[in-house]
Amino acid sequence: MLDYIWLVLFFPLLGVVINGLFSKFLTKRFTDFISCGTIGISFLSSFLILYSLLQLSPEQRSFEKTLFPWIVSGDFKALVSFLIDPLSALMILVVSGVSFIIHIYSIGYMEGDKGYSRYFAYLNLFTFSMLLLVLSNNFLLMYIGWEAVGLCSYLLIGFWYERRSASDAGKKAFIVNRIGDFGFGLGIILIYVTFKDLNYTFVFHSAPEILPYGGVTITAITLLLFLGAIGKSAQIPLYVWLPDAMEGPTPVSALIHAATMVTAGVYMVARTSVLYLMAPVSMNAVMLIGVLTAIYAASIALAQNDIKRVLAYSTISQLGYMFLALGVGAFAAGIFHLMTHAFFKALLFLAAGSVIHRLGGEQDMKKMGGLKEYMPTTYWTFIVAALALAGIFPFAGFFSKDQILWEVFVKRGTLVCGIGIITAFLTSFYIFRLIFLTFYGESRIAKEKREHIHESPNVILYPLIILAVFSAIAGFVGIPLIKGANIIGEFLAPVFDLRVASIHIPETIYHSLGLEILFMIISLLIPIFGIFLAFKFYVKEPALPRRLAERYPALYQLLFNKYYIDEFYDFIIVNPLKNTALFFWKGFDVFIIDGLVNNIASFIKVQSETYKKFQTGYIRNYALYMVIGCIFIMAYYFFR
Amino acid sequence: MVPLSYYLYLTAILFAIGVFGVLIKRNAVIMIMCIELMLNAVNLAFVALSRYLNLMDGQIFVFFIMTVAAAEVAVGLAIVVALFRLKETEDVDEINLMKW
Amino acid sequence: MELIFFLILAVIAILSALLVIFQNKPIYSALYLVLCFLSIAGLYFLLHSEFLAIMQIIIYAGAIMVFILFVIMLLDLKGEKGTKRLRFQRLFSILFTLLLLFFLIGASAHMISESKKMGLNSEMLSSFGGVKLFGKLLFSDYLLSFEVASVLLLVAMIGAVVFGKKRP
Repeated sequence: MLDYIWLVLFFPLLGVVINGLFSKFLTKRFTDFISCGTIGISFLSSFLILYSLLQLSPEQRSFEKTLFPWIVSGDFKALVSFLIDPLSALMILVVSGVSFIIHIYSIGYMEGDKGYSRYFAYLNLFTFSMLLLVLSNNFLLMYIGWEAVGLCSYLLIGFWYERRSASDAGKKAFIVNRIGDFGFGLGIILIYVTFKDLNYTFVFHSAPEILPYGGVTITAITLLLFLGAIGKSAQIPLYVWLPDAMEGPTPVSALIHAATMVTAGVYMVARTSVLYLMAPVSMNAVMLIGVLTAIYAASIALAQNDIKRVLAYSTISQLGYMFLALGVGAFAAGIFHLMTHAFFKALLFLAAGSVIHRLGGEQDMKKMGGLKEYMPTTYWTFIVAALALAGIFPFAGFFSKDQILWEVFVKRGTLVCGIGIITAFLTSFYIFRLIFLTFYGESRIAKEKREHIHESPNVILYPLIILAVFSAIAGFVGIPLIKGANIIGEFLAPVFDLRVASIHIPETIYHSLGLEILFMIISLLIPIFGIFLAFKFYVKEPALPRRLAERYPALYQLLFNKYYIDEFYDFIIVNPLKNTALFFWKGFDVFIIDGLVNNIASFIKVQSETYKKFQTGYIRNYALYMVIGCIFIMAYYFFR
Repeated sequence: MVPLSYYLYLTAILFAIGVFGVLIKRNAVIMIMCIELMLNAVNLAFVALSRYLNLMDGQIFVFFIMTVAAAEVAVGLAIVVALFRLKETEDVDEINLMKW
Repeated sequence: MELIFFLILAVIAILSALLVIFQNKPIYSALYLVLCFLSIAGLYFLLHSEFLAIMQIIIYAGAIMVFILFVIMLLDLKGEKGTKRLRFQRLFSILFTLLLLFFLIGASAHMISESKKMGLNSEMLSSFGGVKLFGKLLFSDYLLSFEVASVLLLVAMIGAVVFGKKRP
């Protein structure tokens, strides 16, 4: 079965071709069938791949399959080939699974939209690109997938391109991404220059041998690669595109900006764990940026009123958690959180989409409320997802987040872990604020819309329910057994285990089991406290938040306006660039270059108009000119 | 003996008169006559020099100049006649179509 | 003695040349030009070039001037009308002609002062300027030019006929 790995990639691509090129001749039913069916086959194949992988013993779980050579030029060879190991098998399962669910959801959500088949073509293309990214076995192919998901993100964010804000958001996403991709590209070039090859296995085996631990080269490589991850996974300072990306359809936000594309950066760092383990400076950088982003984004989410923006900042914050895990060396924990986050964040977005859809496009929470009675299924799935996000036992998020915080505590000490715990508190607060504002209390919905509120159609509800189930039970693959390991950790261990003696692993301070359980209890109580506080603020005393905002107006404004970062970037970067370009256009190109060309032409014209007057047509004038010329010649010889 | 320089000065004066006539007169036929005058001045120079250098070659050349002058006058006047038939004027200033 | 003849002939030549230009009617110009040619023929005689002198009279005064007179009478040319055209032509013509004269005279004076061959060779070729010597040179050294000149005359004849034909 492992030989047929290309099936996973082929079918989504087929879906793109059929839906993209022949949509005019197909019925809506057929489009649905093709797009969902191809992803379904992909998902099925992923399952079979996982199964085949599990048949092998842990040491053998690394399989490479080459399809065909792509570039052969002198010494440089680039092959289209795939790597199947626990990490990539897990990723394709998550990607194809969540993608499949979201495709089904989209059938209901995008009903009646003008660009229906275009949407599904883009969605299939995105799935294909993401699968390519995680399946490739060399940096070049991953880079292709990396760029392709960026492209699809642009296409899908700006899907309703006739809206100015949507196309602007698409551009912003692509451009900010590009800045990260620039670093990423430089990193890959540096890898090639150092190792003369781009194949993962080759690079990871040679790195400990030919590069010094903590040396400049390896630090440079890892930092550059991380720059790409910063852009793609929306960390500080390149996160500004993600909140604006909410202009796209909600299923797009769910798939791309919650579950899959933004996790590409996390995947990449995890994949190149060997290189990062050799560069402690980069690991620190990853950890620092991760934890700072986590608390920063969570603080902004506290004051936002747009339901999707809250979820966007929540995504940024959770990605920060994942990078925090990677930064301290807990790679398996980071990937575990990636998986659980995919489930509950996708669910959160899809459920929010259900609410938005029913309210006719309304996204402002200030205009919602009291939806609990009208949309019960949506409400309950929302609750499940929120509990998972907040990290409440026994839902998925509890296990993954707790594992991260424990690893941080053990390997880095109380300060960093403390920031993580505060962020967990903020997380549960803002997500339950969202729930209470949307579903509880007096309905603040506009009169006209109130008649149309009822539950969404099944095609939307079933995906919600499926994801809710997963959010509930997915955590159990990570339950720590008494010995300190867990199923998923053990499964992923071979990937991160490419240890050669010289690689240093951050020291694990052994603590007793009792401390671990105590830690678990604390990390459970903090979010619960957050829920209670949110309840008090938004259900018991609804006037309290407003009073608080009036008491500390500066702080409220700062959070509400996202720390004015967008304005800051505009001032520092965007406007100077625009003005420079404007200067070069108006000042230089038009004035100087066009002026030069035009003036030369008109100069010649004026000159010729002057000199043509010599041709009078009178013979006597010409005779006179001849005499003059003759005199000149004589004068020359005379005075020599 | 008459010094050579006198002959050359005479040549110069006659040539200058010829040039002046070409530039100043508007009648085509008179212009041609002035050209003949110029040619004659040159002939005189040749003959004078051949005399004073004691070479016959100058005179041979004058012979040829005369031949060419005759031919040139013939063709030139034919052109003037043809032009006169066309434009009914012998004024060269009327022939000015080749201006800018 | 010779000098006197020279001066007389020279003055006649210059005066008649000037009068060629400053006449209103072309026929008078033509007649004055004939006079000029004759005086130049006289100068040739003075220079011991009898053959050329006779040639001058026959070809120039005889053939060419008759041709011109025919044309003048045929076309019935009036005088010049008084219309003033080219503004600076007169001024510049005078200016540049004087300049030309200055240069020519200067050039000849310069040349003569440079060369030592002043004065007349007392030794002269026998029969200098005579027909016999002329013919000998013409038909030996300059035979090609002679033949080409005949072709030239043929071409000129054809040209004149072509131009002179009445076009239908």
